[in-house]
Order: sequence, then structure tokens, then C-alpha cells
Amino acid sequence: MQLFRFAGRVVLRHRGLLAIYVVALAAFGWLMASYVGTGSGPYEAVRPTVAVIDRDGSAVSGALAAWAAEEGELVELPDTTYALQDAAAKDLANYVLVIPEGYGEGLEAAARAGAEPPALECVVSYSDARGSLADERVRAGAQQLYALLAETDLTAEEAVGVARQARGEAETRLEVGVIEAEEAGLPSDYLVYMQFSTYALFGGTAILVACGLRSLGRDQPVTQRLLAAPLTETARGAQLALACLGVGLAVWAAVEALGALWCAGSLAAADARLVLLAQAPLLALACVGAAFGYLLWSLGATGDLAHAAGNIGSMVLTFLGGTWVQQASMGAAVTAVARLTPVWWVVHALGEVYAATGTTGGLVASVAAQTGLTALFAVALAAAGMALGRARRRG
Amino acid sequence: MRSVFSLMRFDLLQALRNRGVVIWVLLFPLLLATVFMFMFDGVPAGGTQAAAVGVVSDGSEGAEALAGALEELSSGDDAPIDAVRYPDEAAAAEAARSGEVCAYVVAAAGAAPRMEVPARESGTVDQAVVQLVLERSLQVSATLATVAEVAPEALSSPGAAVRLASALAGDDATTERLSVLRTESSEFARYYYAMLGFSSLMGAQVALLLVVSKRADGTPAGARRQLGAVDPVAQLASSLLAAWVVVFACLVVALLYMRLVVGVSFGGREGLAVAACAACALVSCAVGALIGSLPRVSTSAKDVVCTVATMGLSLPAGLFGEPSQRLADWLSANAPLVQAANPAVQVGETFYRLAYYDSLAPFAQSVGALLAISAVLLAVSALFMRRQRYAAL
Repeated sequence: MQLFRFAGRVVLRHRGLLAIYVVALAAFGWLMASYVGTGSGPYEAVRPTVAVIDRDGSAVSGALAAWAAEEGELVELPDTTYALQDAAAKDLANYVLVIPEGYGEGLEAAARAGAEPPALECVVSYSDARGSLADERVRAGAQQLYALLAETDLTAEEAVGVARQARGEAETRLEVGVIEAEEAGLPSDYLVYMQFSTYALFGGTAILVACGLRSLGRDQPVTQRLLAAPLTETARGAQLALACLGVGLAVWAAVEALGALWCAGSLAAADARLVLLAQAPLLALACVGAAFGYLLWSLGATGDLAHAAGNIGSMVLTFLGGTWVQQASMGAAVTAVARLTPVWWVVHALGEVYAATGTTGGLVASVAAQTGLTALFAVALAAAGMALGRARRRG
Repeated sequence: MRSVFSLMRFDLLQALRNRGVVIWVLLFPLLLATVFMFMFDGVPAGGTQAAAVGVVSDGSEGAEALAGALEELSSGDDAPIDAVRYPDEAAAAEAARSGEVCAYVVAAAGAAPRMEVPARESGTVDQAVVQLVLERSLQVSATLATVAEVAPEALSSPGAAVRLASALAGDDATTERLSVLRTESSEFARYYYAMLGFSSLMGAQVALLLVVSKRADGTPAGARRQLGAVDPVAQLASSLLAAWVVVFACLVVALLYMRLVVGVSFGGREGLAVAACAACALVSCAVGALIGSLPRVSTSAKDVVCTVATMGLSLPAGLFGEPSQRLADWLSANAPLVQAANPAVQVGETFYRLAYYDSLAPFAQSVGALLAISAVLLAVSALFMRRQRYAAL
């Protein structure tokens, strides 16, 4: 096992690569995970950021503006085109309500006449559904006032008073409870960390192996000396493959140890069996990375090429796999292609472990199947690397 | 001046013959843009899906009325919720825990509806939608009760209460969505602009390569060059000029690819977008020059610093998916100066402002920020170069 130890030591001496592909990438993952939070806690209704431009100044518009502000985080916005563009472009507010001049009078007149009410104006953020939620809330408030003015003889001010009182009562009557899990599942921040670590486990491991084993390349003098050693080709190949596997194992252990350390607070309450189960697909992915690195090394990829292949491959696979954009958001064609990549199965398995609240036979079987599938990619890549390496040696 | 241009020709050749420069500065942005194009193709931009909610009814008249109302809201293409019936609370709770539904509603005789949300996923937008639906339902009865208390005469005529209840549950009130930006925005546009920021910083490798090759302590060739007849300042100028030309050309190629192949909009201001590339290339050269001029740092360590800086600065620009975009939004709101000083963020902002604002003032502000960052970085690197120029001779 001399060659195995030697190769492993050579690879792990590349401190710069370790700093970038293990420590720095793990730190970025932790930074994003810490921002996401644990995802658990008491229920608090979503509060979109809301800006109101009231060009009317009536009792009706005042009530609508006040309700919009109460149900969201109010952002001050001047009534200018530039400010509206700024808010929309920078996403300063999920929802900007513009109450046109004469809206209050128009609503009252339409209600009394049984006509269609005038429309409010709004700017809804493109970023997520919070803006649409705020829009639903505003329309609900406007509908309430319209109904009161249409079906009663109340003045606008009285209708606003009735609506305000009724809204308060409805809010207090609705009871919202929180279902406590029987067993604590994985926290959201750790899930984000694990998903982000797929980049390092595939690309980082591949680059470490390909660049780290450079000094043992076919054209290097040390290899010529090793070829003269009393070691069969099979034994030499097996020791090198084991060394690559060892590098993958080391990267996986380092990345996951850093994750466990940084997310220790949120992981303390998590089911340890689920945490361990989540490691299986990640370990398989590190093996895929090691096999890919071995393939690159067999092909004689040097520094720049190895870096490019590792990073570009990792970037493409993690995008397709659902690390950056949720798998559920992908189109059918992209999902069909993504299923042919290892990271997709890893992220899918992690999603299943995250959704679970306890380890069941079905969950373990499903994760084991997806881990096995991921490991098959490693076997295929390693076999291709061995075949190409042998062909190149004979050539 | 002639010597500068003569050196620049060799610097250009040196940069273009470097495989890393071709891969990372020219090809990588094109590949990333292609990946984005396929990833976001077919994904509904800004679309909202119905919130799946469990319903548990005790079978009483009032409970069935609420369950029926929730199921009615589930029909149609624009349904806000998707109600799923469960036989008992235990089954609904299990579905909520596993993520099948975002929450479940318990409707029972003589009691207000109760909404239950899973502890691990509480406070989502979908749950707020369900809450709004339930509150609207409660508002009908609460409003009727308040009207009966405040103005009982309003409900005295036959059928008045039913008419009011029907009007309260109606959807006559509407909002009109305004389109205030120059071009239609989407959640995916951010990725492309952030990618340009990333590409600009990747371009720092060119300046790094050329500056290091001129430093006496960088390479043996650098030591010989410093002893040559050409003034070191002219050598440095030629390096930076060549780096700027290479990065500018690569950014323009990426820009053309994004515009013509991917279809990313620059608001009909493509000429100004090319001008913005000039400022982006300058900041790229400044970053590369600073890292290249760092004293007492080996060349390989400088490569590591350049890579870490590129990725680290691109993170708050929102390149790496939704979590990084949320981090970018948080930093913009809470630490705007940090974002203002980040060249990757400023590059993305430059193109964003160009495409979406009527006024060119915000664009000019971003370009000004890029020029200011470049000036500071170049001034610091000049100090380092001045002090270290003869250190290795």
C-alpha cells in the first residue's frame, strides 16, 4: 500500500486547492445556510414589504392604505416615476399600491349604482408570491367596503368603521396552531448547506484528484521510476484508484465535519439517524467526483483543463441537479435531462430525508436506491478512466 | 509610446495563448449563459401555484359549508388554494408534516375554523394565502354581526343579509397591474446580470497573469524584463492595456451572445451596454493588478486569492441561486455600502439599471462607482508595485 499512501499524501499537500475547494466553498455554503435559518418556530403570517401611494386622500383610500400597511412592512416611497421604477427594479417593495385620485368617490358611486367599481393600481414584484398575496389582501379590503356601500346606507366613513371592526374580530377568531413533530427532522439551514456542498464534493474532489496526482502523470519522471518497481500493473492501478477514493472520502469528511460544526446549534435537536442517512448520497457523490478526477488524470488533463472541467462540470451538474434552482421549478425537458445526472439523485434523496420526520424502512430503502444509483456513476466514470488510461499507456 | 504598443502586442499574444484565459474569460460565461437559458426555459416566470391545504370536517352542517366553500375555491385555473379532504386530524397532520399540504383546516360544529401548520415550515406564503381565505370567510359573518349591531335597519328588509353576505364574498373589486420598468423584468434576469459581474471578475486573471509576468519577484522572465531597457511603468501600462483589451473583447462577446442567442434584454440600449463593458473591464484589470502586485505572496497563492475573491464577491451578487439572491437583497437593504463597494454587484447593477430605468442617472451612478473602485484598486496596486519593483533584483 506504499503507492496508495504516497499518492494520498501528495494530493492532500495541495493546500491552495484545499483552501479553495474545501474550506472556502464550505464557508460559502454556511454563509447561505445561516441566512436561510432553521425554518422552524412559532407561526407568523408572511409580511410582504408594501409601499402605498395615496393620490386620493379619502376615508376609503386611507383605510385601504392603513390595512395594506398593517399587514406588511411599510416602505416609504415618493410619488414619482423614478421611485416606482427604483422600487420595482431593486425589489424594494413586494407590492406598491397606487390609489388613483377620486377612487373613494368612484367606489361609493359605483356601489350605490350597482356598477363595476374603479380599479386600484399596483406594482407587483416579480421575485416571489408575496406581492400577489398583498394584492389579494388589498382586493379583499376593497371588496368589503364595496359590499357595505352597495348593500347598506352607511356613509363611506361608517362603512370603513364597520369594516375595521369586523376585520379585527375575524382575525381574533381565527386560531392558528403549530403541529409539533414527533421526532425532529433536519433543519432547513443544514439542508441548504448539504445542497451547496454538492459543488465541492463533485468539482472540488475531481480537481484535487486530477491536479494532485499530476506529479504521478504518465509523462512525469517519478512515474517512470514507479514503473520499474516490483509492482504489477493491476496492483498499481488499484492503489491509485484507492488513493482517489481516499481523497473523495477525505473531502466528504472535511466538508461534512465543517457543516456539522457550523450548523451544530440547529442540528442539536435533529434526529441523528436522519443526519447520518443524509450522508450516504453525499459520500456517493464524493466518490463520483473522485472517479471523474481519476478520469481527467487518466486523460492527462493539466492544471487549467482540470480546473475548467471540474468547475464547469460541477456548475452544470449542480444547476441541473437542483442545488441552485429547486427541482420542482424546472421544466419537464430539463428534468428529463437532469435525471441522467448524479447530483439530481443526491439532491432528490436529501429532499426526501429533509421531508421525513423519522427514519422508516421505506425512506432508508429509497435513499439507499438513490445512493446506489449515484455510486453507479462513480463506477462508470472510474471504469472509463481505467480503460482510457490503459489505452493511452499502450498507445 | 511605441515601446508600450510593441509590448502590448506581445502581452496580447501571451494572454490569448494562455489556455486558462480562453477557458475562463471567454468560454465559461458563454457556457454559463447557455446553462441558464436551458434551465429557465419553460419555467413559468413569477407564476403562483395553488396552495395545497388539507380539510378535516366533523360532518356538521356548518363544517361542511366551510369545507364546501374551500373546495369551491379550488376549482378553476387561477384557484388560490387546492383543498384536499382528510378523514381525521391525524392523517391531515401527517400530510402537513410530509409537505403534501402546507397546512390543514379543521372545521367543526359551533367553533371557528382552526388552521394548523407544521412546525418546520411555518410562516410560508402558501399558509398566508390559506389564512387570508379563512379570514375572508370569517369576515363575512363578522361584518354581518357588526352591521346588525351598528346599523340594524340595513338588514331589516327580507334577503338583505343574504345579499350583503353574497356581496362580501364577491370579487368585484379589482386591481390593475402597472408596468413601470422599461422592459419586462423576471426573476431570472438577475442571474444573467450577476453572471456578467462574475465574468468581469474572472477577467481579473488576465491582468494578474500579465502583471505577475512583469514583476521581478513573480517569474524569472519578469526579473529579466525589469532589467530591460523599457521603463517599468511602460511595461505595467502595456500589461494593463492588453488585459483591458482582452477582457473588454470577451465581455462584448458574452454580451452579444446573451442578447442575440439567449435573448436577454438591455432595454434597447445595446450601445451603452458595450460602453458599460469598458468600465467593467477596467475594474477587472484593477482587481487583477492589485492581486498581482501583492508583496511577498507567491504566484500560486495569488491564483488562489483571485479565485476566492471572484467567488466570494460574486456570492452577494446573487449568482448562486435563491439563497444567495436573498443574501444580496438583505445586504442591499442593511449594508448598502458593502454592496456599493463590491465590483461584482456594481457590474450587475450597471446592466440592470441600464435595462430597467428610464433615466440614465442610476446607470451613470453605477459606472461612476466602478470607475471609483478601479481608481482606488489601481492606486493601491501602484503603491505595491513601486515598493516592490526592485525587491527581487
